[in-house]
Amino acid sequence: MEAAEKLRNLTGPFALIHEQAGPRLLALTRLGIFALWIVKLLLDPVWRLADMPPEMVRPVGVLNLFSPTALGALFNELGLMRMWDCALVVVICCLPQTRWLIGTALRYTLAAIVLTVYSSVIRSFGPAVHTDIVLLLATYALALFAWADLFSPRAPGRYSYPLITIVLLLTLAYTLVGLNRLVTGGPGVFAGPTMTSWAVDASLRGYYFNTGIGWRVPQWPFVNFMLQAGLPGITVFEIAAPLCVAWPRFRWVFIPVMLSFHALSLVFMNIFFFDDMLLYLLLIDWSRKFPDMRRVDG
Amino acid sequence: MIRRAPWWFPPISYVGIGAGVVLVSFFHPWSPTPLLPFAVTAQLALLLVMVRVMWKWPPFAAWLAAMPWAHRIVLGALMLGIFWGHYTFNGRTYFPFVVWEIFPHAEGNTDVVTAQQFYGKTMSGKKVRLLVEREFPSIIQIDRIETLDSAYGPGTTDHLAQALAKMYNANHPGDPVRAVDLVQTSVNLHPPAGESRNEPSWKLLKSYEISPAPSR
Repeated sequence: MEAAEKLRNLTGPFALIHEQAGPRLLALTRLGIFALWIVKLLLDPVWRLADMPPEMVRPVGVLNLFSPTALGALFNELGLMRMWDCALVVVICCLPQTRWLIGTALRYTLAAIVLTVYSSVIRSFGPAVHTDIVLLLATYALALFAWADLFSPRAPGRYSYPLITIVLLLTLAYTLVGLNRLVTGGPGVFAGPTMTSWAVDASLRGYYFNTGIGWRVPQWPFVNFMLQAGLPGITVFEIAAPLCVAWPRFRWVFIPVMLSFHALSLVFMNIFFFDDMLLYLLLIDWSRKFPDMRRVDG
Repeated sequence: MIRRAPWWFPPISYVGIGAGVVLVSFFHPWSPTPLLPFAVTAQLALLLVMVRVMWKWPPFAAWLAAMPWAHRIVLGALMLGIFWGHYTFNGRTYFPFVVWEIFPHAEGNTDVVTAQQFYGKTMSGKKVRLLVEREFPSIIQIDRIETLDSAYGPGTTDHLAQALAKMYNANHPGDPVRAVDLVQTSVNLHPPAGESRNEPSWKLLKSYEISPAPSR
């Protein structure tokens, strides 16, 4: 009994995140997600892709449904500019919050469609990497739950559904990455100079954020050890990520550990998931801390 | 009234799942390949255990139970999508439901890591790194340069060098690139103790002359 009590003191309480979320928290989340898309679009001169060698275009996802003529019309400077304009206008239209449920559902759905096309276009060059995919799935969640709200507009927990789903999607993505590494790579990934090899390889290859530091890791024994020893720990945190949905104390360990991991990935591997890092704001149970964010009956 | 499973059922069910994983992935006398690869069955089994734990946790179960049917369909569809994209290992087709893999295996058992890079020489003599992800910021990550010709056809590397120079010059008209070098850089993963290099070893593979852009 005493041991159980000690364990309970150690783990602290368990509570479903965002269970008490109210309309204000959902509105802020919607605003944040669409504002993030606007920033991403404004920073992206997507029309430059028209100057990439055409043989490097490998359509991704929904673009495979396009006819060759439609793809030709899309992958030129004018087509890409029009797509960018369209995406920007549609996402800006998603910023105002209205009480008109069907209007909200329609706007968000349109945004999900244009952002899917945009995300597919930019991934038609190179591998389908994970940056901003959870953000896109979060947009799907906002759109689809807006439609579901039409059928149950008075459901008491309707503000919490998209929020908890987004947290589930974010954490599930980590879990799948961790499980995949554990099962596909096996113990070999965690032994030997695997992490050093990845850091050097990513550093030599470059990417947008090119710190030019990672290739020096073999020369720095402490950093080398830190990266290699950190990989199993990070994989454990990735696999355990869904605990964030239920365990507040775990979240307070998970957030700094994973933010540090993302910061180190930027420094040594030039890889930066800034969208995911901003989505970490949803790992804070705002409605428990601020009564304004709570639903009225909560 | 819901009947609770006897205490011995969960451990036995997990042993059964483990046996199922081994049978499906390694026992295949009727065909040269397993029914499902171990990478899929083992991940799926571990994931099912986690989903089951979540499902049985009373606050989550209560949250799900209180959810109206339309919202439940949305949650189910999103989860199904994420699992479908991952376990079909065909993320390019089902994008954005992709395969969630980041560094799933070691990069090879080599002591030396190599990579090809483009460098430009500008009119003023400056040496600049030409990165696809910088000149075309929409692209998050491009394939390895050394794989381009085999993946997209002969000549792709040359076309990319020209495209990078053209884009760089469009954004730096005052000091444009006049030549592009394709170099192979390499780093020893086990350098001698105390070695300190200022840059990786590199070898010139090819040079491209860049003709000035026609004036408008």
